[in-house]
Amino acid sequence: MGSAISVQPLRVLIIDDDQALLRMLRLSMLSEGLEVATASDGFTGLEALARDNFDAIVLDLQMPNMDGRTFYRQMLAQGRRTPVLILSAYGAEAARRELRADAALPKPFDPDVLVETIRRIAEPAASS
Amino acid sequence: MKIGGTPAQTNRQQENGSPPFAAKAAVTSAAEPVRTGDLPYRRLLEALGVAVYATDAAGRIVFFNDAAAELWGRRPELGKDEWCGSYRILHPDGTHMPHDQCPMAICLKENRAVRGMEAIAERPDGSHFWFMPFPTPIRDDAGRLVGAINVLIDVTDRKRAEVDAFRFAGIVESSDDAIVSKDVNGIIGSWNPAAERIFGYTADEVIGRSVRLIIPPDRQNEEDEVLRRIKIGERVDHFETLRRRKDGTDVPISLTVSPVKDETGCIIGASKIARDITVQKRAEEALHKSIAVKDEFLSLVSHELKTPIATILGNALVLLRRGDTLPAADKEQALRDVADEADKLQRIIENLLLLTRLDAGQELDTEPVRVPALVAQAIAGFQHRNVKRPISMLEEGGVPIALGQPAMLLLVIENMISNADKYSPSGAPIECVVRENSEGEIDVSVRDYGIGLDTAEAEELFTPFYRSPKARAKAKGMGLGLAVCKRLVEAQGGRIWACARPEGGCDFTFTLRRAEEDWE
Ligand SMILES: [Mg+2]
Repeated sequence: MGSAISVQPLRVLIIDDDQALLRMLRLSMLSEGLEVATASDGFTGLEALARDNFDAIVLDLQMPNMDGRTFYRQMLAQGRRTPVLILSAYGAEAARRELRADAALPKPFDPDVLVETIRRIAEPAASS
Repeated sequence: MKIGGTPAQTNRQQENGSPPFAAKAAVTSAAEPVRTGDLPYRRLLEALGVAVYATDAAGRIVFFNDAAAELWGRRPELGKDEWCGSYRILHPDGTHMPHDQCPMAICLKENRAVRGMEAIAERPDGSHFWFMPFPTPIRDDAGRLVGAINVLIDVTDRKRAEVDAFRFAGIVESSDDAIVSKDVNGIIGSWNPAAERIFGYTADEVIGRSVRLIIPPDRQNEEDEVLRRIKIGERVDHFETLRRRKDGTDVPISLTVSPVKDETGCIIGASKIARDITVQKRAEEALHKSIAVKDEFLSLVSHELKTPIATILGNALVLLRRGDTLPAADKEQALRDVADEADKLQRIIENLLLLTRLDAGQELDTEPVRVPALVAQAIAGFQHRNVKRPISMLEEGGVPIALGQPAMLLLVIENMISNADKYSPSGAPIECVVRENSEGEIDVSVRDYGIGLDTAEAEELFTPFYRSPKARAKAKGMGLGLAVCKRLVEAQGGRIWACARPEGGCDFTFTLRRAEEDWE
């Protein structure tokens, strides 16, 4: 934020297998002026990442097909360094330390705090 | 030696060189000092370190040496105390032995040497000693009995050792732990009944063989180390390891090996005590498993309960803060999600509570139920929430009235449908079939075209919190639904099972008892 009031809105990819939660995240981010894409598992998340550039990723851990940890490692293996916020009901902070991700929030959370956190981790990338 | 009494004829005779205890007539008045003529023999007996005493033919003590007095703990009155100088005598079994029935009395009364008897004597101070008497009649030249001489051998130490050994043997025999002795080369010398039980070999089979017999091949080096430590006098304490039974199975044991020394302190072997710790090991494993289950349970509960709460809270906050700026359709969807997620939470909590309340084996009150109507109700409810999933019901023939509890049955059917939905690809149908089976009971089947199951896990599916690998990969969940179904169905006197179809998908079926004909 500050000097970096970008003309372009932040583009966020949300990866979570819970459809209702995805809708809530999307709604709260859109209402804050962010641009949002969603994926329901790690696999479709990687596909979305291959198609578009994102300023930040909101990542769930427990998902079918490809879980959050696997997604994260695959993303790094592909040479991508998009900032990641881990969102989980159980052990979000531990997973952040383990994966050296940028931020973590436990479920449930205040959507405004989520948006603030996304802005914080996305800013360096957005201004560089 | 103390000499009491007054001189008597006998003794005078003895002084005259006649043998002691000469004549019966004389002995009766032998209340005078024993002054024998054969002093060298007398001194010899007095000096002897073994208890010796003599009586006349009537059994009156006429001589005893210091060793006897010391053993008895008293000095009997010469010519007056009879048969034995001890205070009290007991049979080996502890019962009282009157003095006139003591070995010396038998010897005199039966005019024969008595051998091979043992008795216990009590001293005036209450202490006891075990002894072996050797009473021997003394006869004159004419062969007449003139008295008897008795030697008392104190066998108390030996007896104590015997009793200790007996007690010790009893302990070894009755021990639950295997107690085995071996020499410094590991050759087995003794093998108690517990060793037979734990290792499966009888004592006859192993005595004389190396203890390596019960050591698994990959642990033979343990015996090298044990023997090395025993040879330098060290003990091996509570060492947990495995030993092999005769039947080839391994048993976990806790082993203590101590060196055994002879009287001179030389190490002559080792005693091993082995405790079967199978039960402890199992308890430890169960504990570890339950800790793992608890961790997984916490993770599941957190995930399954907190995700709906995240949706409810997030939507509520967004609607509260920016509700008036949101499009009507988005607001409606957010509210619908709040309602649905609250409903989902309610179901999870209901299932958790049911599972805790309904112990295995508990029965529910049942009443006659029209099962097809309940299935139709469950389908209608499901369809309302899941418009896109094709779901149908087939009623085969006239289905009899069943016995059940309608509210709980509805929960079972809903859980089964929800389970089928969760593990089916989108668009795949769910079919509910209600029919009378060959036993006259009511079968309800929910058929899906989903991920199927491995026969091996068909039972485990109904274990609380169990989730098959396939299920984990496909969708989230707590593994509660089917466990609750099983408890509920069994509490209504029914059965439930899962069956994979070769062409794919599963049939989940439960059976209910039929109500009496009167209800038709
Ligand atoms: Mg998830």
